[in-house]
Amino acid sequence: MSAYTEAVVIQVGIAILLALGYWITAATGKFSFGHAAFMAIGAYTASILTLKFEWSLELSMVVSGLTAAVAGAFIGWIALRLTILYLAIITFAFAEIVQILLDSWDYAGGASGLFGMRGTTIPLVAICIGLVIVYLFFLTRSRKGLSYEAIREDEQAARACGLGVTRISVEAFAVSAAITGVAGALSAHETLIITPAQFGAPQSLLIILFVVLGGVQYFWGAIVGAVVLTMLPIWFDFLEDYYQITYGLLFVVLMILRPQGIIGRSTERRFNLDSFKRLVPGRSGGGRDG
Amino acid sequence: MLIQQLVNGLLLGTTFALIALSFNLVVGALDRLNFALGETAMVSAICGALLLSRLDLPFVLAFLAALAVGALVAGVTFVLSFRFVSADYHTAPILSSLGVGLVLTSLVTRVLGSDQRRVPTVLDDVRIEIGPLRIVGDQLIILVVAALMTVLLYVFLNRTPWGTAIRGVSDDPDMSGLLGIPVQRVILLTFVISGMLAGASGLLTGLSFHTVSPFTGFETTLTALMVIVLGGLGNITGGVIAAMMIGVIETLTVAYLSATYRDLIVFVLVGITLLARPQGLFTRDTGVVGRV
Repeated sequence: MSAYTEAVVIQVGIAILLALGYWITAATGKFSFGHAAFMAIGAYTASILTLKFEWSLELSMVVSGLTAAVAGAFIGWIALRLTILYLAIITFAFAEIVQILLDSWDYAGGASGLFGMRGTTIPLVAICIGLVIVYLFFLTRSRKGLSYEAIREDEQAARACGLGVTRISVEAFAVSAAITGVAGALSAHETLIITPAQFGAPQSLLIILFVVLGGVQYFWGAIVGAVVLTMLPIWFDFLEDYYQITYGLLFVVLMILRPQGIIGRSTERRFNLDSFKRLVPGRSGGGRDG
Repeated sequence: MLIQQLVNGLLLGTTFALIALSFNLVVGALDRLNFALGETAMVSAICGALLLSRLDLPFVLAFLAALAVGALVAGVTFVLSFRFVSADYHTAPILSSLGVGLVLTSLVTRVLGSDQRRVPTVLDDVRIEIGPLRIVGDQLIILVVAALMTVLLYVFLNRTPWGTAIRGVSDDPDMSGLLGIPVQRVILLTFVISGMLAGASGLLTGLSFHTVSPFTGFETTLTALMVIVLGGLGNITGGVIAAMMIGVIETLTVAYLSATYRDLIVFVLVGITLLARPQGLFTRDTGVVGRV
Protein backbone atom coordinates (compact mmCIF):
# COMPACT_ATOMS: atom_id res chain seq x y z
CA MET A 1 0.00 0.00 0.00
CA SER A 2 1.47 3.32 -1.00
CA ALA A 3 2.07 6.00 1.60
CA TYR A 4 -0.58 8.15 -0.07
CA THR A 5 -3.29 5.48 0.13
CA GLU A 6 -2.32 4.79 3.71
CA ALA A 7 -2.65 8.49 4.60
CA VAL A 8 -6.07 8.65 2.94
CA VAL A 9 -7.28 5.51 4.72
CA ILE A 10 -6.12 6.85 8.09
CA GLN A 11 -7.75 10.21 7.40
CA VAL A 12 -11.05 8.54 6.54
CA GLY A 13 -10.73 6.31 9.60
CA ILE A 14 -10.23 9.27 11.93
CA ALA A 15 -13.19 11.03 10.33
CA ILE A 16 -15.33 7.93 10.98
CA LEU A 17 -14.19 7.87 14.59
CA LEU A 18 -15.05 11.57 14.98
CA ALA A 19 -18.44 11.03 13.39
CA LEU A 20 -19.26 8.00 15.58
CA GLY A 21 -18.18 9.90 18.68
CA TYR A 22 -20.37 12.83 17.75
CA TRP A 23 -23.25 10.54 16.88
CA ILE A 24 -23.53 9.40 20.52
CA THR A 25 -24.43 12.87 21.76
CA ALA A 26 -26.48 13.64 18.66
CA ALA A 27 -28.43 10.44 19.35
CA THR A 28 -29.77 12.07 22.50
CA GLY A 29 -30.69 15.13 20.45
CA LYS A 30 -28.00 17.25 22.10
CA PHE A 31 -25.87 18.96 19.50
CA SER A 32 -22.45 20.19 20.55
CA PHE A 33 -20.95 23.00 18.51
CA GLY A 34 -17.48 22.77 19.98
CA HIS A 35 -16.46 19.16 19.59
CA ALA A 36 -13.16 20.26 18.08
CA ALA A 37 -12.25 21.33 21.62
CA PHE A 38 -12.43 17.72 22.83
CA MET A 39 -10.34 16.76 19.82
CA ALA A 40 -7.81 19.39 20.88
CA ILE A 41 -7.81 18.16 24.47
CA GLY A 42 -7.19 14.59 23.31
CA ALA A 43 -4.56 15.63 20.78
CA TYR A 44 -2.61 17.76 23.25
CA THR A 45 -2.83 15.26 26.12
CA ALA A 46 -1.56 12.42 23.97
CA SER A 47 1.12 14.51 22.27
CA ILE A 48 2.51 15.82 25.56
CA LEU A 49 2.56 12.29 26.97
CA THR A 50 4.33 10.76 23.97
CA LEU A 51 6.70 13.67 23.33
CA LYS A 52 7.65 14.85 26.82
CA PHE A 53 7.13 11.70 28.87
CA GLU A 54 7.81 9.16 26.12
CA TRP A 55 4.75 7.09 26.86
CA SER A 56 3.50 4.65 24.26
CA LEU A 57 0.81 5.96 21.93
CA GLU A 58 -1.76 3.36 23.02
CA LEU A 59 -1.52 4.30 26.69
CA SER A 60 -1.58 8.03 25.85
CA MET A 61 -4.74 7.49 23.84
CA VAL A 62 -6.46 5.97 26.86
CA VAL A 63 -5.43 8.91 29.03
CA SER A 64 -6.47 11.45 26.38
CA GLY A 65 -9.86 9.77 26.13
CA LEU A 66 -10.29 10.01 29.89
CA THR A 67 -9.23 13.68 29.97
CA ALA A 68 -11.66 14.55 27.21
CA ALA A 69 -14.40 12.62 29.01
CA VAL A 70 -13.86 14.63 32.20
CA ALA A 71 -13.99 17.88 30.25
CA GLY A 72 -17.10 16.65 28.43
CA ALA A 73 -18.84 15.70 31.66
CA PHE A 74 -18.09 19.13 33.12
CA ILE A 75 -19.38 21.04 30.10
CA GLY A 76 -22.36 18.73 29.82
CA TRP A 77 -23.17 19.28 33.48
CA ILE A 78 -23.26 23.05 32.93
CA ALA A 79 -25.05 23.05 29.61
CA LEU A 80 -27.32 20.06 29.29
CA ARG A 81 -29.84 21.21 31.86
CA LEU A 82 -30.67 24.13 29.58
CA THR A 83 -32.10 24.13 26.09
CA ILE A 84 -30.32 23.38 22.82
CA LEU A 85 -29.62 27.05 22.15
CA TYR A 86 -27.73 27.44 25.42
CA LEU A 87 -25.88 24.22 24.73
CA ALA A 88 -24.84 25.74 21.41
CA ILE A 89 -23.66 28.97 23.04
CA ILE A 90 -21.76 27.21 25.84
CA THR A 91 -20.03 24.73 23.56
CA PHE A 92 -19.05 27.55 21.19
CA ALA A 93 -17.57 29.49 24.10
CA PHE A 94 -15.90 26.38 25.52
CA ALA A 95 -14.14 25.68 22.21
CA GLU A 96 -12.97 29.28 22.14
CA ILE A 97 -11.67 29.08 25.75
CA VAL A 98 -9.73 25.89 24.96
CA GLN A 99 -8.14 27.62 21.98
CA ILE A 100 -7.19 30.70 24.01
CA LEU A 101 -5.71 28.59 26.80
CA LEU A 102 -3.69 26.44 24.39
CA ASP A 103 -2.52 29.58 22.58
CA SER A 104 -1.05 30.99 25.77
CA TRP A 105 0.28 27.71 27.17
CA ASP A 106 4.04 27.91 26.58
CA TYR A 107 4.76 24.35 27.77
CA ALA A 108 2.66 23.04 24.87
CA GLY A 109 4.30 25.35 22.35
CA GLY A 110 1.77 28.19 22.48
CA ALA A 111 0.36 29.27 19.14
CA SER A 112 2.98 27.31 17.17
CA GLY A 113 1.86 24.06 18.79
CA LEU A 114 3.64 20.74 19.11
CA PHE A 115 5.66 18.95 16.47
CA GLY A 116 7.04 15.50 15.80
CA MET A 117 4.31 13.08 16.89
CA ARG A 118 4.09 9.87 14.85
CA GLY A 119 2.87 6.35 15.24
CA THR A 120 -0.74 6.24 13.99
CA THR A 121 -1.18 3.09 11.92
CA ILE A 122 -4.11 1.65 10.02
CA PRO A 123 -4.54 -1.31 12.41
CA LEU A 124 -4.60 1.05 15.41
CA VAL A 125 -7.32 3.21 13.81
CA ALA A 126 -9.22 0.11 12.71
CA ILE A 127 -9.15 -1.35 16.23
CA CYS A 128 -10.52 1.90 17.67
CA ILE A 129 -13.31 2.05 15.10
CA GLY A 130 -14.04 -1.64 15.71
CA LEU A 131 -14.33 -1.12 19.46
CA VAL A 132 -16.62 1.88 19.03
CA ILE A 133 -18.84 0.04 16.53
CA VAL A 134 -19.16 -2.95 18.87
CA TYR A 135 -20.06 -0.55 21.69
CA LEU A 136 -22.63 1.23 19.52
CA PHE A 137 -24.02 -2.09 18.26
CA PHE A 138 -24.83 -3.18 21.80
CA LEU A 139 -25.80 0.33 22.90
CA THR A 140 -28.43 0.75 20.21
CA ARG A 141 -29.97 -2.60 21.18
CA SER A 142 -30.03 -1.89 24.90
CA ARG A 143 -32.41 -0.04 27.19
CA LYS A 144 -29.93 2.80 27.31
CA GLY A 145 -29.99 3.10 23.52
CA LEU A 146 -33.77 3.23 23.65
CA SER A 147 -33.62 5.94 26.30
CA TYR A 148 -31.30 7.98 24.03
CA GLU A 149 -33.86 7.68 21.28
CA ALA A 150 -36.67 8.62 23.62
CA ILE A 151 -34.85 11.75 24.75
CA ARG A 152 -34.08 12.71 21.17
CA GLU A 153 -37.61 12.31 19.94
CA ASP A 154 -39.41 13.93 22.88
CA GLU A 155 -37.55 15.08 25.94
CA GLN A 156 -40.68 16.01 27.88
CA ALA A 157 -42.23 12.61 27.33
CA ALA A 158 -38.96 10.88 28.25
CA ARG A 159 -38.80 12.83 31.49
CA ALA A 160 -42.43 12.01 32.21
CA CYS A 161 -41.58 8.32 31.77
CA GLY A 162 -39.11 8.64 34.60
CA LEU A 163 -35.87 8.83 32.64
CA GLY A 164 -33.10 10.88 34.26
CA VAL A 165 -32.72 12.98 31.14
CA THR A 166 -29.89 15.17 32.39
CA ARG A 167 -27.84 12.27 33.80
CA ILE A 168 -28.24 10.20 30.64
CA SER A 169 -27.41 13.15 28.38
CA VAL A 170 -24.32 14.09 30.40
CA GLU A 171 -23.13 10.48 30.29
CA ALA A 172 -23.64 10.33 26.52
CA PHE A 173 -21.86 13.66 26.15
CA ALA A 174 -18.86 12.42 28.17
CA VAL A 175 -18.57 9.18 26.18
CA SER A 176 -18.85 11.19 22.99
CA ALA A 177 -16.11 13.57 24.18
CA ALA A 178 -13.89 10.59 25.08
CA ILE A 179 -14.13 9.06 21.60
CA THR A 180 -13.53 12.47 20.04
CA GLY A 181 -10.47 12.87 22.28
CA VAL A 182 -9.06 9.53 21.14
CA ALA A 183 -9.68 10.54 17.53
CA GLY A 184 -7.83 13.78 18.24
CA ALA A 185 -4.88 11.84 19.64
CA LEU A 186 -4.78 9.61 16.55
CA SER A 187 -5.05 12.59 14.25
CA ALA A 188 -2.19 14.41 16.04
CA HIS A 189 0.08 11.39 15.62
CA GLU A 190 -0.78 11.22 11.94
CA THR A 191 -0.38 14.87 10.93
CA LEU A 192 2.92 15.29 12.87
CA ILE A 193 2.02 18.80 13.97
CA ILE A 194 -0.80 20.29 16.00
CA THR A 195 -1.61 23.95 16.57
CA PRO A 196 -4.51 25.47 18.50
CA ALA A 197 -5.79 27.03 15.27
CA GLN A 198 -6.55 23.58 13.81
CA PHE A 199 -9.26 23.02 16.38
CA GLY A 200 -11.44 26.03 15.63
CA ALA A 201 -15.06 26.43 14.66
CA PRO A 202 -14.63 25.07 11.09
CA GLN A 203 -13.40 21.72 12.47
CA SER A 204 -16.36 21.57 14.87
CA LEU A 205 -18.77 22.30 12.04
CA LEU A 206 -17.17 19.64 9.86
CA ILE A 207 -17.75 17.01 12.56
CA ILE A 208 -21.38 18.11 12.85
CA LEU A 209 -21.78 17.95 9.08
CA PHE A 210 -20.52 14.32 9.04
CA VAL A 211 -23.36 13.31 11.32
CA VAL A 212 -26.06 15.63 10.00
CA LEU A 213 -25.42 14.54 6.42
CA GLY A 214 -25.72 10.89 7.35
CA GLY A 215 -28.58 11.37 9.76
CA VAL A 216 -28.82 10.70 13.47
CA GLN A 217 -31.20 7.76 13.40
CA TYR A 218 -28.64 5.04 12.71
CA PHE A 219 -25.01 5.24 13.68
CA TRP A 220 -23.87 3.92 10.35
CA GLY A 221 -25.39 7.05 8.82
CA ALA A 222 -22.59 8.93 10.55
CA ILE A 223 -20.04 6.59 8.94
CA VAL A 224 -21.50 7.28 5.50
CA GLY A 225 -21.39 11.03 6.13
CA ALA A 226 -17.78 10.90 7.30
CA VAL A 227 -16.59 8.83 4.34
CA VAL A 228 -18.43 10.93 1.77
CA LEU A 229 -17.28 14.28 3.15
CA THR A 230 -13.67 13.15 3.55
CA MET A 231 -13.48 11.64 0.08
CA LEU A 232 -15.24 14.53 -1.72
CA PRO A 233 -12.26 16.96 -1.64
CA ILE A 234 -9.93 14.07 -2.53
CA TRP A 235 -11.99 12.94 -5.51
CA PHE A 236 -12.81 16.40 -6.74
CA ASP A 237 -9.65 18.50 -6.61
CA PHE A 238 -11.45 21.62 -7.72
CA LEU A 239 -13.43 21.59 -4.48
CA GLU A 240 -10.23 22.44 -2.63
CA ASP A 241 -10.70 26.19 -3.11
CA TYR A 242 -14.41 26.13 -2.58
CA TYR A 243 -14.79 23.58 0.17
CA GLN A 244 -15.98 26.10 2.76
CA ILE A 245 -18.63 27.42 0.39
CA THR A 246 -19.59 23.85 -0.52
CA TYR A 247 -19.94 22.80 3.11
CA GLY A 248 -21.88 25.95 3.96
CA LEU A 249 -24.29 25.44 1.09
CA LEU A 250 -24.57 21.75 1.97
CA PHE A 251 -25.80 22.75 5.42
CA VAL A 252 -28.36 25.15 3.95
CA VAL A 253 -29.71 22.79 1.30
CA LEU A 254 -29.76 19.79 3.64
CA MET A 255 -31.68 21.65 6.34
CA ILE A 256 -34.38 22.65 3.87
CA LEU A 257 -34.74 19.37 2.01
CA ARG A 258 -33.75 16.63 4.44
CA PRO A 259 -33.14 17.90 7.97
CA GLN A 260 -33.15 14.29 9.19
CA GLY A 261 -30.11 13.43 7.02
CA ILE A 262 -29.69 11.30 3.92
CA ILE A 263 -30.21 8.06 5.82
CA GLY A 264 -33.13 7.88 8.16
CA ARG A 265 -36.86 7.76 8.10
CA SER A 266 -38.97 10.78 8.58
CA THR A 267 -42.55 11.20 9.58
CA GLU A 268 -42.76 13.59 6.68
CA ARG A 269 -42.37 12.68 3.05
CA ARG A 270 -39.02 11.79 1.55
CA PHE A 271 -38.10 15.30 0.58
CA ASN A 272 -39.54 18.10 2.61
CA LEU A 273 -41.16 20.20 -0.06
CA ASP A 274 -44.20 21.12 1.97
CA SER A 275 -42.74 24.41 3.01
CA PHE A 276 -42.53 25.55 -0.59
CA LYS A 277 -46.22 24.94 -1.13
CA ARG A 278 -46.98 27.74 1.28
CA LEU A 279 -45.60 30.04 -1.39
CA VAL A 280 -48.67 29.34 -3.47
CA PRO A 281 -51.16 32.16 -2.89
CA GLY A 282 -54.31 31.17 -1.10
CA ARG A 283 -52.65 28.53 0.98
CA SER A 284 -50.36 30.88 2.84
CA GLY A 285 -52.05 31.68 6.09
CA GLY A 286 -50.97 34.10 8.73
CA GLY A 287 -49.71 31.38 11.05
CA ARG A 288 -46.07 30.52 11.31
CA ASP A 289 -44.37 27.39 10.01
CA GLY A 290 -44.97 24.10 11.72
CA MET B 1 -6.66 57.13 33.63
CA LEU B 2 -9.25 54.75 35.06
CA ILE B 3 -12.04 57.12 34.11
CA GLN B 4 -10.72 57.31 30.57
CA GLN B 5 -10.68 53.51 30.38
CA LEU B 6 -14.21 53.34 31.73
CA VAL B 7 -15.41 55.74 29.05
CA ASN B 8 -13.58 53.75 26.36
CA GLY B 9 -15.23 50.63 27.68
CA LEU B 10 -18.68 52.17 27.55
CA LEU B 11 -18.03 53.28 23.98
CA LEU B 12 -16.99 49.75 23.03
CA GLY B 13 -20.13 48.61 24.81
CA THR B 14 -22.36 50.72 22.57
CA THR B 15 -21.23 48.79 19.49
CA PHE B 16 -21.83 45.51 21.37
CA ALA B 17 -25.24 46.82 22.34
CA LEU B 18 -26.23 47.27 18.68
CA ILE B 19 -25.25 43.73 17.68
CA ALA B 20 -26.88 42.34 20.83
CA LEU B 21 -30.09 44.22 19.99
CA SER B 22 -29.88 42.68 16.57
CA PHE B 23 -29.67 39.13 18.00
CA ASN B 24 -32.35 39.81 20.59
CA LEU B 25 -34.85 41.07 18.01
CA VAL B 26 -34.61 37.81 16.07
CA VAL B 27 -34.77 35.60 19.13
CA GLY B 28 -37.85 37.51 20.24
CA ALA B 29 -39.63 37.14 16.92
CA LEU B 30 -38.80 33.54 16.17
CA ASP B 31 -37.37 31.90 19.32
CA ARG B 32 -34.39 31.08 17.14
CA LEU B 33 -30.98 32.70 16.83
CA ASN B 34 -29.53 33.82 13.54
CA PHE B 35 -25.92 32.67 13.84
CA ALA B 36 -24.96 34.44 10.62
CA LEU B 37 -25.44 37.94 12.09
CA GLY B 38 -21.75 38.25 13.01
CA GLU B 39 -20.83 37.58 9.41
CA THR B 40 -23.58 39.97 8.31
CA ALA B 41 -21.91 42.68 10.39
CA MET B 42 -18.56 41.79 8.85
CA VAL B 43 -19.86 41.98 5.27
CA SER B 44 -21.46 45.39 5.92
CA ALA B 45 -18.32 46.67 7.60
CA ILE B 46 -16.10 45.56 4.69
CA CYS B 47 -18.44 47.16 2.15
CA GLY B 48 -18.60 50.37 4.20
CA ALA B 49 -14.82 50.44 4.60
CA LEU B 50 -14.30 49.97 0.86
CA LEU B 51 -16.74 52.79 0.07
CA LEU B 52 -14.99 55.08 2.56
CA SER B 53 -11.40 54.39 1.58
CA ARG B 54 -11.70 53.63 -2.16
CA LEU B 55 -14.50 55.94 -3.29
CA ASP B 56 -14.03 58.62 -0.61
CA LEU B 57 -17.76 58.65 0.01
CA PRO B 58 -18.95 60.76 2.93
CA PHE B 59 -19.45 58.74 6.10
CA VAL B 60 -23.23 59.16 6.07
CA LEU B 61 -23.55 57.52 2.64
CA ALA B 62 -21.17 54.68 3.51
CA PHE B 63 -23.09 54.12 6.73
CA LEU B 64 -26.42 53.97 4.88
CA ALA B 65 -24.86 51.54 2.40
CA ALA B 66 -23.69 49.36 5.29
CA LEU B 67 -27.24 49.36 6.67
CA ALA B 68 -28.61 48.37 3.27
CA VAL B 69 -26.09 45.55 2.87
CA GLY B 70 -26.87 44.30 6.37
CA ALA B 71 -30.60 44.36 5.66
CA LEU B 72 -30.16 42.51 2.38
CA VAL B 73 -27.91 39.81 3.85
CA ALA B 74 -30.20 39.25 6.83
CA GLY B 75 -33.23 39.04 4.54
CA VAL B 76 -31.50 36.42 2.40
CA THR B 77 -30.49 34.53 5.55
CA PHE B 78 -34.12 34.47 6.65
CA VAL B 79 -35.22 32.99 3.36
CA LEU B 80 -32.41 30.41 3.26
CA SER B 81 -32.19 29.34 6.89
CA PHE B 82 -35.54 29.98 8.51
CA ARG B 83 -38.43 30.44 6.09
CA PHE B 84 -38.37 27.00 4.52
CA VAL B 85 -36.72 25.05 7.31
CA SER B 86 -39.01 22.71 9.18
CA ALA B 87 -39.78 23.88 12.70
CA ASP B 88 -39.69 20.28 13.96
CA TYR B 89 -35.90 20.24 13.89
CA HIS B 90 -34.59 22.61 16.52
CA THR B 91 -30.99 22.44 15.40
CA ALA B 92 -31.81 22.96 11.74
CA PRO B 93 -31.91 26.79 11.72
CA ILE B 94 -28.75 26.93 13.87
CA LEU B 95 -26.83 24.71 11.48
CA SER B 96 -28.27 26.38 8.42
CA SER B 97 -27.41 29.91 9.57
CA LEU B 98 -23.92 28.76 10.56
CA GLY B 99 -23.64 27.43 7.02
CA VAL B 100 -24.70 30.81 5.65
CA GLY B 101 -22.01 32.38 7.84
CA LEU B 102 -19.37 30.06 6.37
CA VAL B 103 -20.51 30.93 2.85
CA LEU B 104 -20.46 34.68 3.59
CA THR B 105 -16.92 34.58 4.97
CA SER B 106 -15.57 32.58 2.05
CA LEU B 107 -17.46 34.67 -0.50
CA VAL B 108 -16.00 37.89 0.92
CA THR B 109 -12.46 36.50 0.96
CA ARG B 110 -12.90 35.16 -2.60
CA VAL B 111 -14.49 38.25 -4.13
CA LEU B 112 -12.97 41.10 -2.13
CA GLY B 113 -9.78 39.46 -0.91
CA SER B 114 -8.71 38.41 2.56
CA ASP B 115 -6.82 41.62 3.40
CA GLN B 116 -7.71 43.77 6.33
CA ARG B 117 -9.48 46.93 5.24
CA ARG B 118 -8.65 50.34 6.59
CA VAL B 119 -11.46 52.55 7.89
CA PRO B 120 -10.29 56.17 7.62
CA THR B 121 -10.86 58.67 10.41
CA VAL B 122 -14.05 60.64 9.84
CA LEU B 123 -13.95 63.59 12.22
CA ASP B 124 -10.28 64.42 12.40
CA ASP B 125 -10.15 67.71 14.25
CA VAL B 126 -13.01 67.32 16.72
CA ARG B 127 -11.99 66.55 20.26
CA ILE B 128 -13.78 67.02 23.53
CA GLU B 129 -11.82 67.35 26.73
CA ILE B 130 -13.51 67.31 30.12
CA GLY B 131 -10.82 67.52 32.75
CA PRO B 132 -8.57 64.50 32.20
CA LEU B 133 -11.17 62.90 29.97
CA ARG B 134 -10.64 62.93 26.22
CA ILE B 135 -13.13 61.87 23.57
CA VAL B 136 -12.07 62.03 19.93
CA GLY B 137 -14.38 62.73 17.00
CA ASP B 138 -14.83 59.13 15.88
CA GLN B 139 -15.79 58.02 19.36
CA LEU B 140 -18.35 60.81 19.36
CA ILE B 141 -19.80 59.52 16.09
CA ILE B 142 -20.03 56.00 17.49
CA LEU B 143 -21.77 57.24 20.62
CA VAL B 144 -24.24 59.47 18.79
CA VAL B 145 -25.09 56.98 16.04
CA ALA B 146 -25.48 54.06 18.43
CA ALA B 147 -27.67 56.09 20.78
CA LEU B 148 -29.72 57.38 17.86
CA MET B 149 -30.29 53.90 16.47
CA THR B 150 -31.29 52.54 19.86
CA VAL B 151 -33.77 55.36 20.39
CA LEU B 152 -35.16 54.97 16.86
CA LEU B 153 -35.61 51.27 17.49
CA TYR B 154 -37.47 51.95 20.73
CA VAL B 155 -39.72 54.46 19.02
CA PHE B 156 -40.29 52.12 16.10
CA LEU B 157 -41.15 49.17 18.32
CA ASN B 158 -43.42 51.10 20.67
CA ARG B 159 -45.04 53.81 18.54
CA THR B 160 -45.63 52.42 15.05
CA PRO B 161 -48.08 49.79 13.79
CA TRP B 162 -45.29 47.61 12.33
CA GLY B 163 -43.36 47.86 15.58
CA THR B 164 -46.46 46.80 17.48
CA ALA B 165 -46.84 43.90 15.05
CA ILE B 166 -43.26 42.80 15.79
CA ARG B 167 -43.94 42.86 19.52
CA GLY B 168 -47.18 41.03 18.97
CA VAL B 169 -45.54 38.28 16.92
CA SER B 170 -42.76 37.85 19.44
CA ASP B 171 -45.35 37.59 22.18
CA ASP B 172 -47.69 35.10 20.54
CA PRO B 173 -47.34 34.36 16.82
CA ASP B 174 -50.46 32.20 16.55
CA MET B 175 -52.69 34.81 18.16
CA SER B 176 -51.16 37.58 16.05
CA GLY B 177 -51.81 35.49 12.96
CA LEU B 178 -55.43 35.00 13.93
CA LEU B 179 -55.77 38.75 14.38
CA GLY B 180 -54.72 39.24 10.78
CA ILE B 181 -51.08 40.17 11.18
CA PRO B 182 -48.99 38.84 8.26
CA VAL B 183 -46.67 36.89 10.54
CA GLN B 184 -44.10 35.81 7.96
CA ARG B 185 -43.77 39.35 6.62
CA VAL B 186 -43.36 40.71 10.14
CA ILE B 187 -40.64 38.16 10.83
CA LEU B 188 -38.91 39.11 7.58
CA LEU B 189 -39.10 42.75 8.67
CA THR B 190 -37.58 41.80 12.01
CA PHE B 191 -34.70 40.09 10.22
CA VAL B 192 -34.15 43.11 8.00
CA ILE B 193 -34.05 45.47 10.98
CA SER B 194 -31.72 43.13 12.84
CA GLY B 195 -29.48 43.06 9.76
CA MET B 196 -29.40 46.86 9.71
CA LEU B 197 -28.40 46.94 13.37
CA ALA B 198 -25.71 44.35 12.71
CA GLY B 199 -24.44 46.36 9.76
CA ALA B 200 -24.31 49.54 11.84
CA SER B 201 -22.48 47.72 14.60
CA GLY B 202 -19.99 46.29 12.12
CA LEU B 203 -19.09 49.61 10.57
CA LEU B 204 -18.95 51.43 13.92
CA THR B 205 -16.67 48.75 15.37
CA GLY B 206 -14.52 49.14 12.27
CA LEU B 207 -14.47 52.88 12.83
CA SER B 208 -13.34 52.51 16.43
CA PHE B 209 -10.44 50.20 15.52
CA HIS B 210 -9.86 51.82 12.07
CA THR B 211 -9.58 48.40 10.53
CA VAL B 212 -11.89 45.60 9.41
CA SER B 213 -10.93 41.99 8.81
CA PRO B 214 -13.05 39.45 6.91
CA PHE B 215 -12.35 36.80 9.54
CA THR B 216 -14.03 38.50 12.50
CA GLY B 217 -17.56 37.34 11.71
CA PHE B 218 -17.69 34.39 14.06
CA GLU B 219 -15.89 36.30 16.82
CA THR B 220 -18.58 39.00 16.63
CA THR B 221 -21.28 36.34 16.89
CA LEU B 222 -19.60 34.90 19.98
CA THR B 223 -19.33 38.28 21.70
CA ALA B 224 -22.95 39.04 20.93
CA LEU B 225 -23.97 35.65 22.30
CA MET B 226 -22.11 36.36 25.54
CA VAL B 227 -23.88 39.70 25.81
CA ILE B 228 -27.37 38.34 25.26
CA VAL B 229 -26.82 35.41 27.62
CA LEU B 230 -25.65 37.80 30.32
CA GLY B 231 -28.49 40.22 29.68
CA GLY B 232 -31.12 37.55 29.30
CA LEU B 233 -32.22 36.08 25.99
CA GLY B 234 -34.76 38.33 24.30
CA ASN B 235 -34.45 41.03 26.95
CA ILE B 236 -33.63 44.20 25.02
CA THR B 237 -32.86 46.49 27.98
CA GLY B 238 -30.87 43.77 29.72
CA GLY B 239 -28.88 43.28 26.52
CA VAL B 240 -27.91 46.95 26.39
CA ILE B 241 -26.78 46.96 30.04
CA ALA B 242 -24.86 43.70 29.60
CA ALA B 243 -23.19 45.08 26.48
CA MET B 244 -21.91 48.08 28.45
CA MET B 245 -20.70 45.77 31.23
CA ILE B 246 -18.82 43.52 28.83
CA GLY B 247 -17.37 46.53 27.01
CA VAL B 248 -16.02 47.92 30.29
CA ILE B 249 -14.73 44.53 31.49
CA GLU B 250 -12.93 43.86 28.20
CA THR B 251 -11.36 47.32 28.10
CA LEU B 252 -10.21 47.14 31.71
CA THR B 253 -8.78 43.63 31.18
CA VAL B 254 -6.80 44.76 28.17
CA ALA B 255 -5.60 47.90 29.98
CA TYR B 256 -4.62 46.37 33.30
CA LEU B 257 -4.11 42.64 32.73
CA SER B 258 -3.43 41.29 29.27
CA ALA B 259 -5.21 41.11 25.92
CA THR B 260 -4.98 37.30 26.11
CA TYR B 261 -7.43 37.12 28.96
CA ARG B 262 -9.97 39.49 27.40
CA ASP B 263 -12.34 36.83 26.05
CA LEU B 264 -11.48 34.33 28.76
CA ILE B 265 -12.75 36.51 31.60
CA VAL B 266 -15.98 37.24 29.75
CA PHE B 267 -16.56 33.55 28.98
CA VAL B 268 -15.96 32.53 32.59
CA LEU B 269 -18.27 35.28 33.81
CA VAL B 270 -20.98 34.11 31.45
CA GLY B 271 -20.43 30.50 32.53
CA ILE B 272 -20.98 31.46 36.16
CA THR B 273 -24.06 33.46 35.19
CA LEU B 274 -25.52 30.47 33.39
CA LEU B 275 -25.03 28.27 36.43
CA ALA B 276 -26.58 30.72 38.84
CA ARG B 277 -29.14 32.59 36.75
CA PRO B 278 -29.80 30.96 33.39
CA GLN B 279 -32.40 33.59 32.57
CA GLY B 280 -29.75 36.34 32.65
CA LEU B 281 -28.70 38.90 35.19
CA PHE B 282 -31.42 41.48 34.96
CA THR B 283 -34.59 39.76 34.13
CA ARG B 284 -37.56 38.02 35.40
CA ASP B 285 -38.04 34.84 33.43
CA THR B 286 -39.46 36.00 30.09
CA GLY B 287 -40.21 32.44 29.13
CA VAL B 288 -37.91 32.62 26.13
CA VAL B 289 -35.37 30.43 27.94
CA GLY B 290 -37.75 27.52 27.97
CA ARG B 291 -38.89 27.96 24.40
CA VAL B 292 -35.65 28.14 22.48
